[in-house]
Amino acid sequence: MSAAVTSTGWLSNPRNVALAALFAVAFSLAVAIGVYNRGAFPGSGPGGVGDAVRQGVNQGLNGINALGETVAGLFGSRSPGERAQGTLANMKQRRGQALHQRALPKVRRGPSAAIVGASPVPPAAAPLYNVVTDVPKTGVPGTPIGFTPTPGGPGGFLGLTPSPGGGGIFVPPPVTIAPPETPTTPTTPTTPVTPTAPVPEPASWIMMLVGFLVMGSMLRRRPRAALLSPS
Amino acid sequence: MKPGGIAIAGVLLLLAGAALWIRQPEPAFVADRAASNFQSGSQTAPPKDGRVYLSGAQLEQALASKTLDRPVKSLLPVRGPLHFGDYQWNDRAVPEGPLWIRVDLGAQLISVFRAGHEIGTSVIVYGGDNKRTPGGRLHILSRDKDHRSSIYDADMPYTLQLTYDGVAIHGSDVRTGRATHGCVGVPLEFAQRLFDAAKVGDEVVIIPVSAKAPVTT
Repeated sequence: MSAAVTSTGWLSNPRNVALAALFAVAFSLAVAIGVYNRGAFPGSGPGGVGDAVRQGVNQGLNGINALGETVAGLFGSRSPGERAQGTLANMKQRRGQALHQRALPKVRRGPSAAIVGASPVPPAAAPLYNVVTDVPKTGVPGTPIGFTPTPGGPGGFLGLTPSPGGGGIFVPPPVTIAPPETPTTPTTPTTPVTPTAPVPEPASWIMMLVGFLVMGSMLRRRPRAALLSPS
Repeated sequence: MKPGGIAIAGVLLLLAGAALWIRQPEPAFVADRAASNFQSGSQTAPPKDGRVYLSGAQLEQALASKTLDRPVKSLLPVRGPLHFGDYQWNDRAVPEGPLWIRVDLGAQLISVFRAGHEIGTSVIVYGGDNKRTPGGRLHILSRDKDHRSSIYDADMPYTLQLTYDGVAIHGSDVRTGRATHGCVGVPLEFAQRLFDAAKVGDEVVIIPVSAKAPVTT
């Protein structure tokens, strides 16, 4: 690029050394990943060097897994572990209106009542169901409020043409009586949606990396005086 | 020089990220000549596809320790512990054959085998202390894609019924600290795949939790 590359004193600058190290790391990483994926370099077909590398890597991993490992160990390595003791009594999360449902007695078929000969349930017993006691409101029209005419001025109280002095008949707006509310059946609660994973997508990572690079390069390009000046 | 170097380094970082991003699809099955440690008896040579093939000694040890109750040829390559809600499914090039399901309550795992090869695994949730999941050898009694539990008033998609009192394998919200009323809950997508693969009569082996846990009932 420039003549500074060929000069021997280029590496004497520690900043350049760090830059070169970063360069080397990035380059080797890219080459290694590209070889492993074999897709980054279109020239190498199946059976090429990437295939061999990938197979070697996979075999190495499998070898580590499979060599001295028992099957129980293989299962154990993928297990999240035994369930913690504290959660053992934890059932499914109680949902909004589940209490209403669970108050129902368990209905069992069979001649249990006949065998036991139990007396029939007295009619005054508590209801078997949690009855939703939502009494519909009766549609009694309320008395219209706000009918307080203010007598005032020379205008007549019953005058159809109110004088500009004020007063007159205050006609209340028509009050519409709302129909009585019908008790709605409780809707079944939907299962909660699992939240998305907090790990960003690779595209987001790349975008973030690019952003950092741009910020860093802009900061580095800007003259130091501009950074340090008070305004 | 300096800005140029930064630019090159940035481009290379980008290249590395892109190379990571563009993952090749899983390699196709390649017949492997070197898998001679594979247990003899199968007609075809085992393909080398990243699966973990069990050696004869491993299989014997597993059978002796009751980890497995029948021969298994290969397991899925699962690296590291699965998390709740995770699953793996790969039945590519696995031949048709009898399907059976292994449910390990202690390890909180389910494994689906077809023709001796594991084709799916996942983390499960299972019955709580007062509603234990039964252990033993069960069979799928019925399949119901859109089952709705009349007992619990809850949707149980992709239900594979196991017992006559309602224990089943079905799609569920698999999370840490959850327990069921006896069913085996698996992630929904896994349940869908399992539902498509399984049929009535297939065997389900449920390995109960070891006797360490206190029995409250």
